[in-house]
Amino acid sequence: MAEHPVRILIVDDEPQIRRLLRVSLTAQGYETTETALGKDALLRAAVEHPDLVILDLGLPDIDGQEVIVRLREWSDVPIIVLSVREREKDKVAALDSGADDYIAKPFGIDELLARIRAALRHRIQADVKEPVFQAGDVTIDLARRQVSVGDHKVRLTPKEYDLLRVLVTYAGKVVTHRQLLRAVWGPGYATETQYLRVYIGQLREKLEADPSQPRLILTESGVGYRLREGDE
Amino acid sequence: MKSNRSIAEAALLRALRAIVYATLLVGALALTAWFLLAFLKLPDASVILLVAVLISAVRWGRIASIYAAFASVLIYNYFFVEPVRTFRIARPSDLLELLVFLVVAIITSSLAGRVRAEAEASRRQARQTEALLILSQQLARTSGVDAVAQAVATQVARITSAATAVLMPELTGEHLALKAAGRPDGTLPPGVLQMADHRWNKPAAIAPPATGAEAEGWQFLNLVAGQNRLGLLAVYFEPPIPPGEETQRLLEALADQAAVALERARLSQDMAQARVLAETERLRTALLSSVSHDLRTPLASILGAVTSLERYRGVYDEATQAELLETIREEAERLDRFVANLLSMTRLESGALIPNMEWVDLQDVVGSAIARLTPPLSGYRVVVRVEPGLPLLRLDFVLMEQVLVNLLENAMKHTPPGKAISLSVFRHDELLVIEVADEGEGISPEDLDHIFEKFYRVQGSDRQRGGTGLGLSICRGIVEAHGGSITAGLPPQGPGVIFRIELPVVEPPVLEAEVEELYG
Repeated sequence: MAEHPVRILIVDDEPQIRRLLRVSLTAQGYETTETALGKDALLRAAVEHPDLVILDLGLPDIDGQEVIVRLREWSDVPIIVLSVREREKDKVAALDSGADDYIAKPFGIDELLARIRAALRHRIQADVKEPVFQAGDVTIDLARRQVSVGDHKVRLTPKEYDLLRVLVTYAGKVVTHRQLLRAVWGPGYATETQYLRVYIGQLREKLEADPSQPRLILTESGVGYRLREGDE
Repeated sequence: MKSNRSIAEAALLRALRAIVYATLLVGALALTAWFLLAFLKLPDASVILLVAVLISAVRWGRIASIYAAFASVLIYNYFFVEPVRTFRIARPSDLLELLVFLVVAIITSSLAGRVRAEAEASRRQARQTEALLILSQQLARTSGVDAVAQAVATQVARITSAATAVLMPELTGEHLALKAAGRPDGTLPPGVLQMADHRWNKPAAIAPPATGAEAEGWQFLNLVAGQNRLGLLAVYFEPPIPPGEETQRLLEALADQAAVALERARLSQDMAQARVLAETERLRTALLSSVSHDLRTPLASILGAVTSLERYRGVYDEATQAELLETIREEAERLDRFVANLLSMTRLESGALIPNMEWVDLQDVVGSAIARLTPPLSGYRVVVRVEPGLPLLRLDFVLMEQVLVNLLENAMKHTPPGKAISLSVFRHDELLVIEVADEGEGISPEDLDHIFEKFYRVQGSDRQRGGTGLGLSICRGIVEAHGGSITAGLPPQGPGVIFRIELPVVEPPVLEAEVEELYG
């Protein structure tokens, strides 16, 4: 972990939300700074070098989407977007333009902390990929391309394995339909969600105890999929 | 006054024509009489000339017949009374005969004229009756003020061969507006509306405003039903000769009938409007009471739990504190779902809800809906059955998930904890069926017909937990937007209700097969 305490920049125009985040995050040992404005957020990101940004999409001055785009021009700081549930398109747009994850308002603090941990971990481990992923009784060994449930090895097709590998790479973070399709099937397939539906279904059949109530590969309605991390 | 002059001109024209015809007729009959006298040796030609008077009376009226009478006397005198070819009368008996002929001719002509007038009156009566009948039949088939006005304009134009228009006051303000036109192009010449406005708003004594030449010749009839002035019927004859007395009477009769029909249409429209208003009012009241109930109930629980934790945290044991905290979370989540439903309802009603169709695995939707309700569902025995190998469907994932969430929430509302709530998905011929069944208290068959109506709540239910009566109506809106149907029914045996969604199966997408090489 980093030497200094992890600094989180909170960008939200609602003082109540800022207070909730400040109190809960400080209690977890994070250091926070906050602003209500998008332009100010860009400035602070440049000056303060936060380790993570929590960004509300509806800001009074400039659109949250624009903040993401402008931030991504020079920074790869993890960005977690706050958004209301009904705006799936906004979430997908934010994720596709470089946000690391999103959390729907209203949210539980556990959920938020899990997202923050996942985002920070991916930053730290950007190069050092964990070769073996473990969640529940599912083990995925990326180095040996082996997947097992308990003691039983699971046989996957190449596409199934590729899909699972992408999810494992971003374990704990949401991956959009488009991102998954591009990574596994190629850029020409970015909107062919039928492939995703079928292969996610197959993966669940092979890995989940009850495919209709998945515990490992979670659905983010209208956005994408998320692999549950071992510590959740 | 141009119009009076035209009346006089027209009358003069008619009279002249009649006199010409009568002259020709008298001449022809005189010739006939001369032939008859010459060849058949008839004693007297006067009877034949009487025929000319009679025919003139019947065909062309009084003036023509009197003219014919005098003309006949003169001709008779000139050609048939000794000495012929002079107007002189030699014998006194001949003079007497001429006088008698004249008297007979005039009396005959007046009698025949009366018969003619009566025949004409009854013919006119019949025409008028027929016209009124046509109009009333047409109007009886029509409802709504606009449609009736249009029917009036069209029918009056057809019956009288005039251009017509129905003008009625605008909703706001005193000015008349064109409601319907019985002209092919559906418009009025410039200036007519101004003139009509003047007729409508000003006493007749005030001279009308100067209008363009195109407005000349239009005349206006009041459309009056009882005490209500409804508007004006504008008519225009081509050429712009004012209608005869008969047409004028017919127009007035038509206008009266039109007014009655318009009044009837207006009244029924008002009544319909009042009903809509009452319905809107009822919905608004229901919405307000529902919103205040469904917002306040969870807020009350939350505030109660929070204040109690603030005040007595030290006194409560761990379990109590945990229970209060759980209440807060559950109620807040319920509030969230309620707001989501309110939002969906607004979007459904404003037409802003456009399904984002994509290929979806229903099993995925089911799992996602159940995951969303994990805490509240934990008190129930949840049975999920998804038939393996179901085809993908094209639908909006998020909306269909909301349908399932609403149905599950509804099931929880009516089912005591510990009982089963089941969700099954299976294929039935060309349909994919989703069934959500509970073991709750069930509902009466009468309620079954209404539960998808907005703000409908099952009456007399003891266990009525917060619920808006919105959730099911949103379900219906969303399912129907997907071309599917949703129904509620009672299970063949046992308690509870079964909700059944049917979605059409579409041709599944073709996937490229991949190499059958397995890892592991």
